[in-house]
Amino acid sequence: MDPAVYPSSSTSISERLRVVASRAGLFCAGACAAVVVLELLLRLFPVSVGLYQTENREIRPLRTYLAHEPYTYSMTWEMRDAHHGRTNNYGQLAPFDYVAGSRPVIVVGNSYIESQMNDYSDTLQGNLGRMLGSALPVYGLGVSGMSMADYLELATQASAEFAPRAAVFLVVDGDIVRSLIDQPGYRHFRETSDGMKLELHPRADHPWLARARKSVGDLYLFRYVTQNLRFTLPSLGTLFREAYAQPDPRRSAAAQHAAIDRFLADVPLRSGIAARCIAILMDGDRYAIYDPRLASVPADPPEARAYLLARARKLGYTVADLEPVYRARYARDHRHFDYYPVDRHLNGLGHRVAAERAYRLLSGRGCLQ
Amino acid sequence: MLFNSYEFIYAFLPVTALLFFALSASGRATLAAAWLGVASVFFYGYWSPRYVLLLLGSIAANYCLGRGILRLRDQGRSGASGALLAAAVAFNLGLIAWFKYANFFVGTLDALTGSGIQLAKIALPIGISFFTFTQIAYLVDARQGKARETSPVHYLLFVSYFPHLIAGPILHHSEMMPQFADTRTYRFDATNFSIGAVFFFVGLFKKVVLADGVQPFVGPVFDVDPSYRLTFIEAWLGALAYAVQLYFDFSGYSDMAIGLSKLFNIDLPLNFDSPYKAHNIIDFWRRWHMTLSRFLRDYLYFPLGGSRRGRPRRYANLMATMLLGGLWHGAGWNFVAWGGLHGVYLACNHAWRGFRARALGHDLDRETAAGRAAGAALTFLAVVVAWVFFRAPSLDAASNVLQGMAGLRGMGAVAETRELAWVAVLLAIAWGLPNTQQFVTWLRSGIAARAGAYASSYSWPVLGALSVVISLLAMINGSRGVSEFIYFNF
Repeated sequence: MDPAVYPSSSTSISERLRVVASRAGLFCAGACAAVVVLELLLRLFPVSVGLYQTENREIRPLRTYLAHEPYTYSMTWEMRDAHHGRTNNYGQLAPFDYVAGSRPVIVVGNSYIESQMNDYSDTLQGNLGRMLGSALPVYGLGVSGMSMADYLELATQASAEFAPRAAVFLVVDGDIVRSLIDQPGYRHFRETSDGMKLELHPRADHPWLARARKSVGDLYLFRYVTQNLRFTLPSLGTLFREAYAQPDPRRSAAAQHAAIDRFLADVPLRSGIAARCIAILMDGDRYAIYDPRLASVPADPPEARAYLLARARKLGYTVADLEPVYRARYARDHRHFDYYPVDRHLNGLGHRVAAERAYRLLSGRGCLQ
Repeated sequence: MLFNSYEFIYAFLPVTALLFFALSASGRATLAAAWLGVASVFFYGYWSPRYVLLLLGSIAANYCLGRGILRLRDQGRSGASGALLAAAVAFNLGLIAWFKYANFFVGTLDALTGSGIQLAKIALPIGISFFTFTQIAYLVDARQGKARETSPVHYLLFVSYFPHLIAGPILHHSEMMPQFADTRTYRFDATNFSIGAVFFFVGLFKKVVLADGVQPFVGPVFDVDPSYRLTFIEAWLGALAYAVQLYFDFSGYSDMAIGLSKLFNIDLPLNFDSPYKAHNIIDFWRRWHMTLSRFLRDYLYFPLGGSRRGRPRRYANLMATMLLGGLWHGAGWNFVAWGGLHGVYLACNHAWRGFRARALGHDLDRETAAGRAAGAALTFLAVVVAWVFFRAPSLDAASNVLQGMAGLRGMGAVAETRELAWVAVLLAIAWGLPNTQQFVTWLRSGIAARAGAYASSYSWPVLGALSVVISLLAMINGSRGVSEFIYFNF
């Protein structure tokens, strides 16, 4: 009989400890072997990997990711809709390098514009670039997790770097409310006696944490669990990134209006583009269009959305609410604009619809010449 | 609390097992059994706290009724014990009739007579079909002298034991009570623990990866508006997807239940034996939901007379058994149709076997490979057609799918090759690979052959490896939200 498994009652304490340690060692060896096998196995599949954030990302959101690095994106546990690509010289997801001072049309937004889940040619910026031919460059500036407050900084840096002639801002649900939330690594509007003030909440990473994040980030198993499975364990998750704050529904409408006012007042100043050549595209609840029962509770109150659209129009912006556009298109051919039901991000059709609208609006105002 | 949820895997199961083995190690076997019973009731209450009293009331009432039947029997009062048994069975059937069938009966009555009688929607207490049938079997056997349980703790555990409580396997007291009484049950056994973990892992894999992986292709076919004309390919892909989803979902659940129970040194009966490899429908029912088949055979088909009263009566008994078996699954005409169809299949199978043996002089024990393959194909086809009724939300919906499968609405095209690949891979697994018990046997014999006397040492690294892959499967499951087992509805 194996004494490691069946210790008798007469065994000494040290012998018992040895048995327990031996069992624990065998257990851990098995667990480690499983981790290694899973890691090797996952390396055969298109796990979401790559896209390492730059150390000064929050200060320079224009350069979010390390430049010229390959990446793979796939969604869900099945690693569906895999896309492979390489970041450009600015660390943006585009198959070509951006040129400083090239007076492009810029397309600004969060993960919807970053668009890891689509081929570049299917994105809003890709579609717009195709519509414009070689006449004008179109640069996508999308950074996952950003809100309206961050767009201002992005516009400022884009202005200094590229001197854009026109801009498209894709505003999605949550952009307004989240711009009022103090989150590590992002900007937000803070109410002061002098009005809304734009502030950055820097991340307080210890150097070892940054190194650990980079090292662990190279593991396919870790990436699979955190990116494909979106697994978060609050206590474990904060080891690698600080927790995101949730929108506060009690945030007053007045604060939202003030944030919108500040955004609209600043965009032309910071981007150096006249308001008439800035298109604001407002996304809508597409799932509700497919089936009213699927309507989601919006993060941004409908009243705030309406206020943004009305104020932007009044200030001379080029404005489009995409919801009726999607609705009319869906009534016509019943095709989804996103990865329903697994992901609300826009798919190729959604981006094309937005690009067509942006092109029509901006060209109608003579901004694409 | 689902077997595949974080709270079960990381909280309920470790706490239950730790305390069970701690009590066992201190020599308190009865307390350990009681703890397992209490934990099982908590497990049930986590689902639906309001039905805990129903469960406990049912257990208490049936325990007392069982004791009463035994006492009357011991006193030689056969008539009185029979009357008490009839009352007890009526009590159990009344309970299940109220909770499971009242809405169905009243709705049907209203549809037939236009009486306008309405009944508020009665929620189905989860697992009621399982714990009720388990206890009816106990009572019947008590009356026949085959069961004699005096320990209320063991009886509570027998009925409420959490691995089987919600969706089976349907237990028989004769295979459980001796294990609850055996002192070896109350001793941590690393080999049993690792075997249980392997069963649990395989079941979890079947559920999370295979069944839930193919599940998205089922709803769009069966839940589509019946006015939509399903094409041949759409309908077949949907029907085949459901056939494999149901198999891997339910057999996955059963494997997990068997594995969980094995952790506690208790063997549950097997519930599946590669049913899609069956070469005739009789064989299918020996391999599919085996504990239900056993229950229907022992407590319905045989008491009705089985095959002892001539062929017409046998077919009538088969039909009655399968119709009631269908209705057991759910209160709806689609389940009646499913059961009826299987009744017809079984009658045809028996008639065909009789014809071959008598008229053609075939030796039914010797079949050619081609004959077996043809039989397996025909059996699978028949089973898939019947599953359409089982899954469809209405007879109209079933008719729509069947018309599509018959090619009455055109061929159509494969919209997604992913769907085709999923169904093909899952069918290949169901047909080509060994089932869980065969896999575990192969694994054990392989380890034993290599490690000899030290085979049990392999338990610890196996458990370490399984803890990692089970965690990963739980995360995969968690990434998709709640995914219940299909048989929880029954």
